[in-house]
Amino acid sequence: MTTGRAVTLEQQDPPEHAVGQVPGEVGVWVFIFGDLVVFTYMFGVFLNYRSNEGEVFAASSQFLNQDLGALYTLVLLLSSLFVVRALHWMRSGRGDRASAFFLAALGCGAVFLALKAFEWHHEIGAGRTLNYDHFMTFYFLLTGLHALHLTMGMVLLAILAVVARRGDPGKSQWILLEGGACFWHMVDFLWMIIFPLLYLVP
Amino acid sequence: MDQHFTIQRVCTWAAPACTFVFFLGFAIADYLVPPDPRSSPQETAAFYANHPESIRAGLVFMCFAGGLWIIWSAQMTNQMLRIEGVSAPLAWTQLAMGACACIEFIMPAYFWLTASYRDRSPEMQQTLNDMGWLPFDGFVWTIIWQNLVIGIAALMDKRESPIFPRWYGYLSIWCSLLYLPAGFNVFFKDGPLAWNGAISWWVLLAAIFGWLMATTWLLLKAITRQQQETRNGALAGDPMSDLARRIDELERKVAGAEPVAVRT
Amino acid sequence: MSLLRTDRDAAQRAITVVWVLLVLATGASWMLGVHETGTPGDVHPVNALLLVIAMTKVRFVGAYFMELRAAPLPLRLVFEIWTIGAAAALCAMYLLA
Repeated sequence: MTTGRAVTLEQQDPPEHAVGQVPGEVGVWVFIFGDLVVFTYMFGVFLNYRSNEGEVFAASSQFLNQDLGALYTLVLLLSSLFVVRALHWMRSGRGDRASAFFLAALGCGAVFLALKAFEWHHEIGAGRTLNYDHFMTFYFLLTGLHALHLTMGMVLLAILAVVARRGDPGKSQWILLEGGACFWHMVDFLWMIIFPLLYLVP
Repeated sequence: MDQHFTIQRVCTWAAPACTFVFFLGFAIADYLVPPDPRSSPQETAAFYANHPESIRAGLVFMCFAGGLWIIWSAQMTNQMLRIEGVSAPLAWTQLAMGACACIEFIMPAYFWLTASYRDRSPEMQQTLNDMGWLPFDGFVWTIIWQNLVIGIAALMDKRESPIFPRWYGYLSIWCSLLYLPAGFNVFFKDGPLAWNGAISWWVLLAAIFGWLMATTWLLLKAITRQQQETRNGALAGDPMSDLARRIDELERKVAGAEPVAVRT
Repeated sequence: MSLLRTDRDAAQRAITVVWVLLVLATGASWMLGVHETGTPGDVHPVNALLLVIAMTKVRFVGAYFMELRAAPLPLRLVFEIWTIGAAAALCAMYLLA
């Protein structure tokens, strides 16, 4: 082998996620940490309002179904597991399986959205709209923003499923795969905080 | 030749200027902390009756921010064209959004200026006040797209030396999300999403102007890089020479690469 | 190549274990939350515990699912610090209501 870059037709080994590598790329983490800071700020504002209006928050929170809340958490946990598996299969060279797992995660997301739509419909139908009281404001704000992120995540998962099926990912596809996976996990763990805050704590 | 770059730099500085003018104007008019949407018409009328001169001065000054916003937007499009080339829907969208965003500064200001112009019934003053605050805080319908197309263009950049760092693409898209809740201030008279709320007002302000500072800094760096690239040949601002430079790069790559090896 | 495969499988097994623990933690939170007694609107230490459990789950999702354990130290540190800081801040805000 002489010096210079060889352009080969051989399939490149997928970049193993080695120790010391940023999952995805740095920019993804700018987005993720930014979101974390803002959501934490909103959680703080929520708790602040709660400390002033404890009874109101407790009363309105009673209307939310805690079992449903736990179910949401489990659905998203499952979807995160699917995404982890998908990445694993991608790295093992099985793009077809990876694609299936991405789609399975997307399915979980769809289930979440359907349940969420049902829950919102129920609350609005009962007259508990955005303006009913501050708790409901936060309920719709937090679950709404979360649902927006979830929808973005689902679009990403669809793209990842296509990328996985095509196989032979280059550097920018790996960034997309890992970055997209991290975004989905963020959607999952944001809900892990929203669930107790809205459904259990008040 | 350096004139090309000086002009670009001047246009870029319109962004910090816009920021300065906005904050100073609002401070003079005592608008930085928005009034409570639950204020009674009488309280609102009293606000306008109490210091009409500083309101007028501050808001007229603030109007300059509208035009300044367009100037830096045009410069952003100028750089985005280098990313997209001849077919540049994102760059033109950005420009149009930036131009419309100017309205968002000036129209509400005129509703407030109208309120301070004459004595009127408290209900009328409250109406004019609402007509200013609801859109001034809630008019996010251009900036969310402006940020989004900038972010997408930055991430789409396939040049050897990208115009913007990749984290800026993510930052722009993320800020776009931060602006969105303010658009819903029409639903609320209090709480974090009202026009004076933590999320609709304070997060929005921090996000817009924080992002604008990052944008200014990165645009200036991009201009410097462009200037250096130009010194290595090619005319500034000439898309054909950008093309010539890229052909140059390709030829160098091809010359340096090994012949294609087939796996045996 | 085969060594790599074993490493990957081991990592996947670890993740599965973590996942089961997360599911159990969710169940525990749910039970604690559902069976809470006491005056609505007051401060209960149990709720602070729920927040801590939530942030712990978040930390594990980050460390294992998002592969932060294998990430550069600065990135990992920022995440861990955020997890701890947010947990402390939210608990404090709740308890000192």
